[in-house]
Amino acid sequence: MTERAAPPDLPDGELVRRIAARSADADEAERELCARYAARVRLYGLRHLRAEDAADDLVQQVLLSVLEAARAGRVEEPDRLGAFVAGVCRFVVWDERRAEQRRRRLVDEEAVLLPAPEAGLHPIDRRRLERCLGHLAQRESTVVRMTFQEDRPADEIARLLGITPGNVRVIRHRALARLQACVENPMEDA
Amino acid sequence: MTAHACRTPPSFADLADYWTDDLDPERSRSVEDHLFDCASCADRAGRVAALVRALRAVIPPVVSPERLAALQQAGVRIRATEVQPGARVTVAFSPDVDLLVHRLKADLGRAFWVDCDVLDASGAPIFALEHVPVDRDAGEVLIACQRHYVDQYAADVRFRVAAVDADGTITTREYRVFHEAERT
Repeated sequence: MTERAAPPDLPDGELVRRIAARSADADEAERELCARYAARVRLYGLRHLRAEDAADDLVQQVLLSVLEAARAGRVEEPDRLGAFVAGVCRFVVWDERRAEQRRRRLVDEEAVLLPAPEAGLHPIDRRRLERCLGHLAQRESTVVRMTFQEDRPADEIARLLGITPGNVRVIRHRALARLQACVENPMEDA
Repeated sequence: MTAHACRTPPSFADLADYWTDDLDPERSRSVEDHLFDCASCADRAGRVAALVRALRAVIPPVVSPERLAALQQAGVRIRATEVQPGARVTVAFSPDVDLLVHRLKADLGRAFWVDCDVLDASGAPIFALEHVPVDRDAGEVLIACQRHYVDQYAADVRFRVAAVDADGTITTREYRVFHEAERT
């Protein structure tokens, strides 16, 4: 028996339709759907749940729910799968916050289909980041430190530094852009 | 849509604000919807997220008492040394220590804000930190000295702490810390 290749070039809607129709390559379509959305769901989880393990759990739960819906033909607009996945994410996080429980039974049953949790963030070299921080202008460095290491909101930073919250954001955007260029391109001077 | 170039990408500023919780809820939801619909923008957002998360994990050169307590709670092995104004102390890493903390003592009860300059033995600036966190109750500035700093900076370091009172009076104190080679 030959293994079919996943259909990476198919549009989302076609993947959903093949899953719903239980077509011959439905399993490959499911894998492709999971691969396509795992990183996005994990990002959502990191943003709203804060913790890596919670984000990984969310990936499993959301993708299982999406697959179940696709198999049952409950994705009403297959060509707008992104919106459907976003809706499932929001519901699951809301439901989790309310119930404080995970549906581990389903995850255990179907984990083989789902991508590993590494569908995640680009690694950042910590030493490199510290060197890049050293290249920032003093005010940029202060805003970055107060924002990310002291967890102060823009309004408070503005009051401490005698500038406007809008200024704080502009300084922070500039600093983050410089840091990203610096950490992603070691040849580039921050 | 997934495989095509994006025609309406969120700006870098939007992505940065999204990851720093500084975007209004409506715009935040709109950015989020777009990220679910667009693989290339989700990848851009992932790069910003990685940077923001890495920044949150950085231990700054001056820490608040709360951050110090959190580090201890997380199992970081800390050796703290009290340093009085004008004094010179010698410290060293040993294998059982992850972080040296220099407790720079000062009366900070009236300080409106505190700046801290880090200098080499000759007085040349290494870096300057404005508006550093302080422990007003204990009267100290907490310098967090990480192991890799030993290779990065001079062994003999001076700290100049400037406390600015509400009436603009500046009180400056100096401290000197000599970092010995690692003790085994």
